[in-house]
Amino acid sequence: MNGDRWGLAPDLLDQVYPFHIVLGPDLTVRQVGSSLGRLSGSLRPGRSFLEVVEVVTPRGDITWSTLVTRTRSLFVLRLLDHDLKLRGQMLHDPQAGVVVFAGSPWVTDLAAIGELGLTLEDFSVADSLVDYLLLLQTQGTALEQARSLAAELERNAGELTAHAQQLERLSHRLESVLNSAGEGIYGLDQDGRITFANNAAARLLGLRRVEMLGRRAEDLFRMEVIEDAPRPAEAESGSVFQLTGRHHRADGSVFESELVSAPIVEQDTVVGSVVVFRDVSERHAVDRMKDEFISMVSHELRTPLTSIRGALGLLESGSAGHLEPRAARMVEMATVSSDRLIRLINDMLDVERMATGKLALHLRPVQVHSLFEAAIAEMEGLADASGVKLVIRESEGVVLADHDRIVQTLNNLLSNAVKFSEPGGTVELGASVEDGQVSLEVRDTGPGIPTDQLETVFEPFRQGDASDTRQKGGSGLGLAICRGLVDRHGGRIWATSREGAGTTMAFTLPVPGPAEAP
Amino acid sequence: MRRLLVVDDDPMILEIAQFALETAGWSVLTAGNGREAIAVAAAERPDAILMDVMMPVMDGPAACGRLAALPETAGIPVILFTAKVHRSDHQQWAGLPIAGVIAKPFNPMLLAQEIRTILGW
Repeated sequence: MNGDRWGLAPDLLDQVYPFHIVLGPDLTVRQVGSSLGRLSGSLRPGRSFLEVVEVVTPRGDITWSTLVTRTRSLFVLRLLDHDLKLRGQMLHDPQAGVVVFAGSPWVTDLAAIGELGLTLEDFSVADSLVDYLLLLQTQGTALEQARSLAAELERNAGELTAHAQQLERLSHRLESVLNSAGEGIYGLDQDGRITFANNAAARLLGLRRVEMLGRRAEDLFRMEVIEDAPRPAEAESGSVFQLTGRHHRADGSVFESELVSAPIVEQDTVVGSVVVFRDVSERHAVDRMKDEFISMVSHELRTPLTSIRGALGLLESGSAGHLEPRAARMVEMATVSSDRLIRLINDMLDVERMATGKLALHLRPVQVHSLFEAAIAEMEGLADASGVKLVIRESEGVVLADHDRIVQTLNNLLSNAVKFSEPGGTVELGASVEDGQVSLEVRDTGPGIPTDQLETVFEPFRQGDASDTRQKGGSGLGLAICRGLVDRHGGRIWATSREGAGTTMAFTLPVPGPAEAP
Repeated sequence: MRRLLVVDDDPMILEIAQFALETAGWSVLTAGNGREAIAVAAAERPDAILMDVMMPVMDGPAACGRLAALPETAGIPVILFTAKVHRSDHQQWAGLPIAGVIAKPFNPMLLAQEIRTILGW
């Protein structure tokens, strides 16, 4: 090796071109760069260059003169025992009489370097290939990122489309729900302009939906409010309200209506309201018919009963002439039965009125004592006839109550107590104030109520024993009415009893607040 | 002797009430509707009037108003006598110039006592 004869010392050449090959004029390999030598087993000094390397470019026969003259041409070499391709140029050193192939591997990405069994250490620091590859890789990464970004965008776009379609379906569904509702439904923005309206709203108001949108509701129709009630559940928020009244259409026609308005809240801000309203003319007509029917029943049934009961009473008293004992017995049975029929009608009407909420209470502060006295005044006749004494034991307190309804309650309780008392017995009335309410009691010394029936006696048609109903002449509704009346006052009613040791019927009533003081 | 005017469009009820009150020792006048009642009351000046509510020609509440407005009858107490209420539901008549309410059906043997209680006789 005559490396020292061509200017650049071999180790220096190797540092710059670790993939170099030095060839002699006979095309034998004189020297091989360290990196290249490590890869190829056959590329060794002394070997014939063309036996271990294929010259891919330039094409044609390769001779010494080719190599010497084409120093400005690109040479691409392929190792015959390795996948590696080299790319570079031939340098001619006439002094040393050698040709040097100065080049490096022809690779297009960093990954290929590893695949070829090379590392970046195998390259010269000056080799631009590495920078190029790094640049390529950076670009490749950026490109890859751009690609995945694009793919993601495409996916998002797809999802957005799907969401939009879903929203559209939802909106269609919502619209069909809105339009299938019998109630009129419309939305208002903060300025009172209509943002949406369903078919029923348009129909009820005698408008077309397109006429309504964007218009101020007050310019299209008017509601005359008769009753304005906050809904109990939402009363504190004050934003949901319920109105009863009449809607006046643009053409002047009117329908009775009910309306509920609730705010539309978006992100903690009220952006408008949704209004649901309905035409209640028909329902009111039905209610009126029902009222009339009840009134008719109450009047038309009682009028003939008045004559029957009156005539029987006069017969029974003997005022219309003395009756033979058997005739008197017949009259007595008819009298008892007509009394029962009257009570049954009255009780059924009470139950019906409580069930429909028609029973209005007239609450005012009332002395318990006056309630007791009024009840006793009405029940004394029955008590005397049964040989039972009515006694007020204590009558402390003032209650906030409907006088007549509480007297009715006491009468029912007293009537039961008297009916179930033995002649000579005593029925006691008592009252005591405790915990801001008054507890009233009716206590008898009758046979008592079995423990398992203490609760059920307050259900309609549940007298302790069904045969008692007929025997004692009750309607089976008295205690149900008592419970209904006490409930309406916000009180509680219950029975305590020991069989054979009498029954105590107790109920509570509220005391008047400071504002309602007598 | 107390003289009572009983007003009702149902002749059977009139007859029974008359019988019951006469049995109690009272004298009884009758009328079939509100207009008749005003005429009888103005002419006869009864001690009290027992007045049905639902009647043809002139109903009870209207007659009560006229009776209270007429000088000849203004001092006569009127008790409504009606099947339109039962028991203690008397509030609906609160605005009328009446002394009280007696519900139908009634026990004829207690009718005079009920009237005495209401009028404080």
